[in-house]
Order: sequence, then C-alpha cells, then structure tokens
Amino acid sequence: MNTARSDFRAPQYDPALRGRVIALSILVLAVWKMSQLTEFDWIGLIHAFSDPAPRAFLLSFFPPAHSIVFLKLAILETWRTVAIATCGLFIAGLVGFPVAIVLTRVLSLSAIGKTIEASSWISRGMRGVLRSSMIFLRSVPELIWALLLVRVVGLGPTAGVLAIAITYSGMLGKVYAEIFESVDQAPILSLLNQGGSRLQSFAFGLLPQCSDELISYTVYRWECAVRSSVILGFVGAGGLGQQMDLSMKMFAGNEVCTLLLMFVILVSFADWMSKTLRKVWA
Amino acid sequence: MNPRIVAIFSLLMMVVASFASLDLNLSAFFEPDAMSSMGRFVSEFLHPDLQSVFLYKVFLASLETIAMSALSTLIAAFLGLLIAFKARGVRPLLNILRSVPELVWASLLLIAVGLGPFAGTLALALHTTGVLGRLYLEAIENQTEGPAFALSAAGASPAQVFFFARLPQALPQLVSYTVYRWENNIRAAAVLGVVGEGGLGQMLSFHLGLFQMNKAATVIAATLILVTLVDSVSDRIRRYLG
Amino acid sequence: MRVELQDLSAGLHQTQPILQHLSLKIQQGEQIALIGPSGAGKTTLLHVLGLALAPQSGCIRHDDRDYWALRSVTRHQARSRVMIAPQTPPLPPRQRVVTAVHAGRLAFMGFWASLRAWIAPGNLQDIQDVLAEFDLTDKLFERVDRLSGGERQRVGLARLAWSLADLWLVDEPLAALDPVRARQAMQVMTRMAKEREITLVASFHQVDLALEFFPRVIGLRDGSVFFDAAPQDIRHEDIVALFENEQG
Repeated sequence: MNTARSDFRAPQYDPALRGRVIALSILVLAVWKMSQLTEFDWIGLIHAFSDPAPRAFLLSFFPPAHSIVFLKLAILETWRTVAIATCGLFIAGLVGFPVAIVLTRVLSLSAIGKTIEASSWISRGMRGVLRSSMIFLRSVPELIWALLLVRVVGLGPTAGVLAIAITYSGMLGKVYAEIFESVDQAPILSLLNQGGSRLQSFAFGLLPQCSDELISYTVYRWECAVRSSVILGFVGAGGLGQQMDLSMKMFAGNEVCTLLLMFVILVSFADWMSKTLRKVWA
Repeated sequence: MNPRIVAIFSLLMMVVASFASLDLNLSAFFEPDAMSSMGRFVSEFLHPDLQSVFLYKVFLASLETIAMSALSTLIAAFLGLLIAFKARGVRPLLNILRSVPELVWASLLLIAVGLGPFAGTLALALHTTGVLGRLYLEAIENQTEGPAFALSAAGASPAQVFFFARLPQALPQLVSYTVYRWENNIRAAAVLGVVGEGGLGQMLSFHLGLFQMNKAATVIAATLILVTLVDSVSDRIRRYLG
Repeated sequence: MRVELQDLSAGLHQTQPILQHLSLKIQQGEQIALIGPSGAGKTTLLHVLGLALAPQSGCIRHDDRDYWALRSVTRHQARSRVMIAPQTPPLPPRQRVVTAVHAGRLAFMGFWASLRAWIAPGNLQDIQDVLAEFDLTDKLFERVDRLSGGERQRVGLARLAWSLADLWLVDEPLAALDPVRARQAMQVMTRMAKEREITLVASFHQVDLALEFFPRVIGLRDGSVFFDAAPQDIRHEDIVALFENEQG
C-alpha cells in the first residue's frame, strides 16, 4: 500500500503530446504534398517488387559484357576519364596556386612594417575581387559549366577538362590560400625583412611548412575530380560517363554492368593512389 | 632515390600522358568564334529574364526541386534507421548504394520509371540511404553502452532497446547528419534535373539547349538562391541542436 | 525470488575471473547489503545475479532453474524478473523522466505498446506516485540531462521501483546522494522491497548505512566471501580487515 500518494495531481496529458501530434501531422502533410510535386508513384513502387518487368531489367545486367572488344573500350574510356580529371585538375592548380599566393596577406610587400590590415587599399581590393571570383567559380556546379561549354567547344573531353578546371580552380585557390594563411608567419616575415623577394620567402619560408597539407588536399580533390569526370560524361564530356549514358540509352544492361564495375574499380584505385601518395610524401 | 622526387616525377608523367592521350582542342575555347559566342552568352547572362510569367515557372520548378530533395532525404532517413537497427551484414549494401553517384542511379532509374522527378527522387533516396545508413550506424555504435545494457539486462527486446536507449542517445547526431544531407541533396536535385528529372535542372538544360542565356541565367540565379536558403536553414537547425 | 550460487567463478576476462569459487544462498524476500573494497567484485556479483554475466565455472540457480543451461530465449524472458540498477544511472541524456521510468516495464510491453509509450506515455498518475516516493514530484516531464546527479540517481531507483522484477540488484545507489537523501532513499527502497516481498541485494561503499538498514551483510574481498552475517554479529575488526590495504 502506498503510504505516500503524491498530492501533486499529475496533468491529464503529456505536455509534449500536442507538439508531437502537430509535428506528425505536418510531416504527413508534407510527405503527401511532396509526393504530388515529385509525381512519386508509391503504389507503382510497391508493385515493382512483384512485377516481372523490373526483375527482367535487373537480370539483363548479368552476365556483365566481357567481349574483348568491349573490355578494351571500357578500359580506354576509364583511362580517358582519369586523363580528363588529371588535366582539369592540373590546369586548376596552375590557376589556383598563383591566385592563392597573391591572396596570402603575409606576402604583401606593402604591408611590411605595418600590421597586415594596413596593406594598401589596392592590394586589399584586388584580394577581395580574387576571393569573390574564386567563390563564384566553385559555387556553380561543374555540370552547368559543362553544359555551357559543350555548346561552345563541342562534345568531347575538352568541355569536361575546362569544366573541371574552372570549378576546381576556385576550390583549390580558396583552400590553398587558407593553408598558406594558417602557417607560422615568423620564418616568412624574417625572409621578407632581410630583403628577400616574395617568391623567395614563399618558396623557402612558407612552402616547406605546408607541403604535406597541400599534397593531401590536392590528391583528395583529384579523387573528386575523377568522380566529377564520370558525371560530366553524361552531358557529353567523354569518358566512362558518356559510355555509360550511351549503353543505358541502348538498354544494354550487361554493358552498363561492366562499366559500373569499372567505375567501382576506378574509385578504389583512386582511393589507393591517394593513400599511397600521402604516405610516400610524409 | 628520394621517394618524393619519384612521386613528383611519376605525377608529371601522368599529367603529360593525360594531355597526350586526349585530343583536346583547348585553343578552340579561345578562337574568335568561341570567344564571341561566349561574349554573347555572358552579355545575355547579365540580363536575366525577369518576366512574371517566367518567374512563376521558375518558382514552380524550385518547389519541385525542394520537394525532390526533402522527400528523398526523408525516405533515406527512414530506411537508414531501419538499416541501422538491423546492423548486421548491412555494410556491403550500404557501400554499393553510396559509391554509385546519384546521377548514375538516376540514369538507371530513368530507363525503369521514365522521365520526370520520380526517377530523380528515387535515385537520391537510394544514394542517400547508403550515406545516411552508414552515418547512422556509426553514430549509434559510438554511443555508450550503459543505457542499452541496462534495458537489455531487464529483459527488453532489441527493438525496445533501440527505441528507449540507442535511438534517444544518438538522436541529435542523427538529425544533424540528416539535415546536412538535405543541404547536399538540394544541389544534387538541381543537377539531376539535367538528365530530365524535373525541377530547376531540367529547366536549365532546356533553356541552355535553346541558347536562351537570359532565361538560363534566371534559373541559375534561382538555384543559387535556393541552395543558399537551404544552407542557412540547415545551419541554424544544426546550431540549435548544439 | 530465491537465488543460489555454487562454486561460481566469473569475470570479464577469461584468464582472471574476479569472483572465485563463490557459494551463496539467498532466500525469497531477503535484503542483503554487499560491502567491500573497490575491485572486490561487487559489481561483477550483481551482474552475475542479474543474468547479465555468464559464470565461467560453477553454477547459479534462480528459483532452482539454471538459466545458463537453457535456451537464450528462456533466459531472456527470465531477465524480466531481475533488474539491475547500475551505479551510473543508465538514462539517455535527452530522454524525459517519464519515459525513462516507463522503460522499467518494457519486458512486459509488446512492441506496439512500447511504441505508444514512447510517443505518448500513459500511466501518468502512477508514475508520478513512484517519483513522489523519491521526492521527485515535479520532475515528471523534465529532461534527464537537466537534473542534478542526485536526482538522476533517484530516477534510476524510481525506474527500479516501477519495474515488476522480484529481484532487485542495486549497485552503489547512494553514490551521488547527500546523507539526508541517502537515508530517505534507503528507507523507501527497503520498505518497498518488504511490502512487495522482493529480494533485494545492494552494494555499498558506505558501511554504516549498510549495517543500519540491512539484516544481512556480506563482505566481499578479492572475489571471495570475507564474512556473511547479521550486522550485530560483525565486529569492528572484521570491517577493518575487510578494507585493509584498500587503494584509493
């Protein structure tokens, strides 16, 4: 027998209940409305599990196409995908690296002897413009650049390389600049004060401190570029993606399967390369 | 020999080989024809089409894109929870789902279900399930065992342990991941439209195909605004979660 | 519930079991205090009693049944009749007190009932009454991480009181409580256990409270029973010897 019955009458309902019911209703309503907007066919989806047609489609993937002719084609396209990514990233580096150097405030000659903020308004203005351009370049998804470029330079790897170069120069420029800024400034300043040129101070003072990080980030971006390159292929920029698109349009399930496998191998290879490179460099 | 030198040398070789094996005509970009087209495009770009009829269409397309991203994220969250609960032998499936890029899923599904946002939503849902499933799994595994152990030792079933111990512990982390994926999915949804999956992407591809740069500019601007909006909302939610 | 241990050794590591050849008989409705230095094996013993740790040798019987020799399903069902209240209250930080206490009866709720309890907890008045026993009257809907350490420990005890187990295994229930609250909690626990004829085994670091409230005190040292007697039969020297050379 409870000798201590609480004299605090518990509320008849849970105060959180109202909130939860409202949240649940909103959720249901949202899902319903969104299903309408996206023409989401829930019923068709459930039926698909018992429908023979989707199963036949899946089965058409096996066995993966393995004729010598096709395998040669697949390997060639895979290499071209890597090549597109490498070229694109290389150009992006050519642009991003110098821009990052310019963006590094510590190298500003006009700031020697004064605080960093006191560098001349010209150099500050120029930095602002460069920074905004980098942000703009990397905000527009590379697919959109590719769409544009395909109409300017035609189908093929050129559009892909340029699209990657444009987007990734923005990324590399910004992150390189951040890496440069995060480095210990003392060695650089001492070189500058001795009268060394900006390039010398950069090469002997700044670069050695952060080469690990630079390599690490660049390799990571190279991996991303390889993936991007596959995606860009879908809009005509060549490589594995373009071949996948073609095979899909021809309903050649077994070819698509081989290409997907090649893609998985490619991604694993890129991953391996990046790990090895980072280990070797350190 | 210094391994770094070897590495640099091999990398340079790779770059050279890459350029050599593609027949790039980068100079085509700088030819007068191309330059003047680009110039024309850029000038048209700077005068986006702002007529109300067109803006309304853009607005509808934006709604479609948001719906694609949100619905796919919700579905993925639900499936991800199921998978995180099941937990065993589920990693290979998750890896397949997340390694295949959304666009590839989308193209595959196009064949299966036809053009339109349904394929895009489904593709995003599949890919995101792979991503969220793995994140959920790790988040739940990283929680302290105490509460789950106590309930299990008191005779609760695995499902009950999940709801009353594991899930509540990991919930803030799970919500944070989910909101972060929604941010990503907005970009992905916009892009998927390009292959015919509705929303802003489809509009963009359409108008670019017709070289209507001013209309394309509006669509791109709308995309950027949408992405920024979702980014800031999601940032706020994640900061609120602490 | 009756429990009997025969020559039982158990521990987390295969090679060095903490408990060594322990034999013990616990009758229905008994209230036992477990005392001893850190590392003596008090927590391990509680886990063994709670069917949460399998013996490496020897056997343990609950109501004359050796659950470790039976199917795991049967064993899991038996777990609903024993409940361990760990030293650190096992409560998810953002969970509310009402849900945390509800969780004490999960083994007796089907899947849908537990889901309903998760979304919209019922039995509010009854849970309120249990909380009132532990002086937590206005904390019904409070979040666990907004409570003090002592309050959290009492919520853990409230969950125990809410459960339908007839063997209570409490690990250092008073660690976070000040002396006044500690006595109150002790009074409530022992009274409840007596009213409901629940077998209660609790481990303590505070020897005085153990001696005051429990009719049977077991001293554990290095995994073996050092003494097992009523408080009046325990001499001061025994206690000193029990804790001799205790570190920390």
